Amino acid sequence: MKILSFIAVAVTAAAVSLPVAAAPQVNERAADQLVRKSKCLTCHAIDRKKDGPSFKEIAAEYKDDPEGVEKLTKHITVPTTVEVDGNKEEHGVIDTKDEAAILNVVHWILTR
Amino acid sequence: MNVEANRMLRWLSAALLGVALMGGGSTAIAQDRGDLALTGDATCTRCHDEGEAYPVLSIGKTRHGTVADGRTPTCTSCHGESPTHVTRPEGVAERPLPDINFKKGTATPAVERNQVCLTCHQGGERIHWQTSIHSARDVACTDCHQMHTQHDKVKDRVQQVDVCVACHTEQRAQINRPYRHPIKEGQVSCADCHNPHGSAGEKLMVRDTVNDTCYTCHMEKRGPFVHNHQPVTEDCSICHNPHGTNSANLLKARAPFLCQQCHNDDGHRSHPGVLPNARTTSTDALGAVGRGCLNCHTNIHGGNSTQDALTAGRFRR
Repeated sequence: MKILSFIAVAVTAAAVSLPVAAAPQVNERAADQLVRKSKCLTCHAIDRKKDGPSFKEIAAEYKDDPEGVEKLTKHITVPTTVEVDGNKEEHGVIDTKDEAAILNVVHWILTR
Repeated sequence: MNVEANRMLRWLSAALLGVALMGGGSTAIAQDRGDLALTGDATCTRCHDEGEAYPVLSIGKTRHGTVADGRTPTCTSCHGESPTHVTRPEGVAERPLPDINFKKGTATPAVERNQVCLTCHQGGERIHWQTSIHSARDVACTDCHQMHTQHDKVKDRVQQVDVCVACHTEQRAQINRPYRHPIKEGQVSCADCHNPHGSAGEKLMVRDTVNDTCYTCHMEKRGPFVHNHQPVTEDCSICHNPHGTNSANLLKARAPFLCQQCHNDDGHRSHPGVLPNARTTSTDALGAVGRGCLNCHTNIHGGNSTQDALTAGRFRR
């Protein structure tokens, strides 16, 4: 009985702490500022759907993908076409050429 | 034991479900949040919400956001209906901007931007806007005022000067000189003397003339006097620079140099500006040696002395 309780608590603790332990170091403030400056939040929100998917949805889709970082980096740096309300629209790119800042934003998205 | 095991399994399931729910926000469903700050702003705040780099929702904290006041605007009252911005036309790569933009460097002419504000705010202190120098030089209301913030810097007595001197750089230097009005201390603000929205008089003064404006505080200089010093009645700024100087009393230059600009040897009544060539106690011969014109001519703004013509007419006590 005690062993089962211990296992349950351990599993819970591990499940809660695992994403935090695996998360890379993210400069939250810098990422937030760059995301706002780049107008990402016009179409995306953190946890609710706007014209684009929420960052939480994006994170859920890509965080376990080994190529997730690469895919997201490409998506926010190379102009692409996306569909908004049935219309094709150009997806904006991040407003910086600083690779470290771009990577920081990608990790910021993946840790939402 | 089976009962115990079943209970533990249920507990374990509940714990795992809890963990799943903790990270389950990612599947949030899109929700129409309706109007967020102004009446009818839902179309705009669908995109332009708390995620904007320049805060837009904070307009709800301003007078423009007082929804209980039926006169307050909505987004489109100022930015236009902007149909092509709301629904991007087919074949257009980049979404067109709203009809009226207020950003620095915008293509919307200043006159058009200002008309948006004047639709409600024409009249009162802005009655002379169209004939003001600011209007003539295409200054827009939003060059000085911030709409979406609760704290409009230019309406703060202490910070207002920062907005004005951003363009008026000469005055920025002057208000830092040794003799100045206490502008930096917030005791006097630019708008105490000037109406930047336009006035009937010169230099955007709040009253019709420079003198009338100065007299609102310095009423003892107004008179009427029995004996008037003509430049005082004409324009205080002949002798003073109200923004700041290096001479006491905001004078443009020190006595006797300031006085001798009019009272020179060959013109207006004056003392010679040279040294006497012999021992003398004559003030006429001593001239401006003491450099203290105001030591004797104390009532320089005008005198009411009835002692004798010599004393009264020369503004001596």
